[in-house]
Amino acid sequence: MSSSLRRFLITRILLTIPMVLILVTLIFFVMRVLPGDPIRSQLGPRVSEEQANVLRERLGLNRPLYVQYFDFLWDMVTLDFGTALTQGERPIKDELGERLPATIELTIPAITITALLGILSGAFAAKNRKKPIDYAIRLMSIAIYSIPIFFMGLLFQIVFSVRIPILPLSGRMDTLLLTQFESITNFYVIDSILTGNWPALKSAIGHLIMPSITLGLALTGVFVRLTRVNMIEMLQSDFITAGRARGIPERRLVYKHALRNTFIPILTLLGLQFAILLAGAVLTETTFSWPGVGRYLVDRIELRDYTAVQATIAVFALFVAAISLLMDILYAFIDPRIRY
Amino acid sequence: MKKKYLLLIVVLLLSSLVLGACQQATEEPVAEETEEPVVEEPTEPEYLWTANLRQAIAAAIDREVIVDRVFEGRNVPAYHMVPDGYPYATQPFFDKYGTRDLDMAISLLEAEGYTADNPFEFTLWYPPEHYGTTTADVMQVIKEQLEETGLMVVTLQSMNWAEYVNGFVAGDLPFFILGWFPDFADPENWLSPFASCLQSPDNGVNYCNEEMDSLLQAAAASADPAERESLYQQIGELYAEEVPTIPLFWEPEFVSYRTGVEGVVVGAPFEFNYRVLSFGEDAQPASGSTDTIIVGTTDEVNSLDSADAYATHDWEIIKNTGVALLSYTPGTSELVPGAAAAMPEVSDDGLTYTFTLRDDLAFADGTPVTAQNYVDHWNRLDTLEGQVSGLVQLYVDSVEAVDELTVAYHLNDTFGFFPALSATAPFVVGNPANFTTDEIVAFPEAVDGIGAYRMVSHTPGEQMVLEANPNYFGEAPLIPNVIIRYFADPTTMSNAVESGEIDVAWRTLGPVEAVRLQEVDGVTVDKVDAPALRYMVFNHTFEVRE
Repeated sequence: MSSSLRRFLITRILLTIPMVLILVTLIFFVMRVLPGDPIRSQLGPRVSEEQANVLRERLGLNRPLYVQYFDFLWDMVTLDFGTALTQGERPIKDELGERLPATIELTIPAITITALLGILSGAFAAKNRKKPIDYAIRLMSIAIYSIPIFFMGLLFQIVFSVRIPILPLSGRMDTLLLTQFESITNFYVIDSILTGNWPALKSAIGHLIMPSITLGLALTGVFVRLTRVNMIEMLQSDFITAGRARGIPERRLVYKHALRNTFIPILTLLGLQFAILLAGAVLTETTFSWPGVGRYLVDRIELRDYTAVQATIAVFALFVAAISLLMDILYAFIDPRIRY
Repeated sequence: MKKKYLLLIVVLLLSSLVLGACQQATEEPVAEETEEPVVEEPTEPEYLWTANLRQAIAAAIDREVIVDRVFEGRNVPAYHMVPDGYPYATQPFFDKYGTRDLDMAISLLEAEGYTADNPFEFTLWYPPEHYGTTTADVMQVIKEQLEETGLMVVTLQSMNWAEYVNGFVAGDLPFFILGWFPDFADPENWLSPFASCLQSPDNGVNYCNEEMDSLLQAAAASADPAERESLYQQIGELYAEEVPTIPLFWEPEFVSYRTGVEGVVVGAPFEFNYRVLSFGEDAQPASGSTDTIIVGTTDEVNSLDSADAYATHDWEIIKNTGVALLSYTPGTSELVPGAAAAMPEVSDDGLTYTFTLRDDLAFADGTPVTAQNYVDHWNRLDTLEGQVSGLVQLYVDSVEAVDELTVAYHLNDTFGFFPALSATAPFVVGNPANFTTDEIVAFPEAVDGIGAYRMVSHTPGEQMVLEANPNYFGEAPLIPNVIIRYFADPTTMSNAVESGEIDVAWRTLGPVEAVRLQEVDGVTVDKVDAPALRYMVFNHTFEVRE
């Protein structure tokens, strides 16, 4: 590692600290400024004010705000996150430990589908610019982009699970297999490989197909358009013309030389989308009853579960920071001209 | 590189500024609160809701029309806070106002001095989603009905649930809609929370009337059915006269199951007993085996600790893995001995209920159950201050083990409805092996209770596995394994029952999916009369504002 890259990495990592700090501080106070509190949101009028106060006391919500804030910061630093305030008051570490892997397991195939389908068809459209296939791809990309994600999910469910039952409808694994399933990391695909449980692996992958295609397809439209526009520009550039003059095959020119040079903006968007998907896959998670972290966050915001929301957003912030860092490093590999 | 360091410093400075500003902003109100002097109110406040206005509104509302227009006849009009089919239920609002009495409403409003030029104007509040998306339609129909008098102008306003609850508890809303689901199946639990001086502020009613209070107390204290019947008759009449709240309608639930599934009965106290479910000859179980049934729900688990749990689905699991002291014959509201060998003995002063436990009671792990387990269970509930603690502490003072199999509940006062309370989930004894003494265990690894089933595994948000309890004192369940599948939304759940991924789709299927599934071959949909009430609340201490 060059010393300049090292310095760049250290600066970026250091910058992550104030970024996360500002974010969680904002969330801490915004959550408390919002009307409502965890006791009433969960129990409504079922408990008297006196009992509600007893519960608030037990949950530590009666402590001065600055005490709660510094306790929360300490929990963040020690990566303990404390316990949730609603729904069983479980350690947040356990709750995220169950839900984050589910979301990541869904997001990775989805973003892969998006990248492969979006970039390749975008490049193909650029190569065949103004031909019928170009128009067809563009039309498709707009159509897919404009269909609401839950509608697409429901449509797939009705076609491929109810009418032609070839794919499982919802959840992460067959009910009966799950009763016997030994989960180590909560990534069901990885766990079933680790334990050599092949029927479970088949079921886990089967359950991933519909939700990941739904989620992946919904994002494809953006990548098709982005790739196409950048490729068209790239295909008109001098080095491509020079390549053509030297007799390099068109296919190699397009898919190797031109595509590689359009990767910078695509990669940026891909990184951002991946980060957004962690929390933004809530509609897909709801449609497919996928017990992920997007649904968790929405539920807990509604319940005003301060600690759970703060911790989840802090984890997201770390993820976003890590991914953007990773993207910056990848730029250097894709474009050797980039130096840090 | 220097630029980056500079940026770092700026960001750090900014973050500390934001932190400081936020702290100041949030600290200020606290300081104000403590310093604010207490000002004595010199004059008697003038309250908005006079008896005439409350009666006028009660008379102007037509429940039949609401039910027809908004729910296509699925819901049941409510003419009392106590549902039909429960002990001592009457229809006092029907007796006083009929289905609707517009003339009465108009003359009452005129008596209050309102005219077409000077109508009575007020705001009606509702939460847009908490009770389903139909709430807005219900509010619109009510607005039209009230304005039909020509003497009222109603402004509708909505607020998200979290804000709404805080608003009505704080007394900021004059007139609003709420829902009620009883804790225990006795009229006491449908009346005192709204009409007693002590409990009505919790629901934002703030109603207090001496006559009503003494009648409610007498009815609650009495253990004599004939006396209670007469008292609840009088309370009903006074309720319709006084109108602390206005009952609107009962919202049914729907349960859907595949052909061949039998024994789906949800009785009046809204209990779903998995142990009476079975597969008929033509059944095609979702699991592929008649030994396992899969039940879907959109509910979530909040807590499986009977000293803490206070939600419908949690109580359902607790009652299928445990048995309360008393219980109900499946499908009926008939109270019968559960973990107790017989109905309780009541002391002469009515303050002590003594239960003799069955001598064959044992936890699923084989440990025998004694009266001391009930004492320990009460101590946990009383000291750990779980969500449900308040419900029991309101009535129970202490619990004593008289001997190995006899447990005595000493009450705070005379409560004739205590048998109904003792049939609720907080009276299901927890196994100390699953639930430690010193903390609430909302998500135990297993539940080895005294019920027909034991809970062997639970993957939150995905599924829960129940197995027949080998040490259950009663008849073994007809289907030995039950898997509860958790769904995120009713549409996916109804697709799952249609495609045969689950055998039963239970709470909350909702009317839209229920109507759709009625047309599907191989699936049956039943309407379940649930004691879930929607009612309008007057905030009785809402002052007249210019």
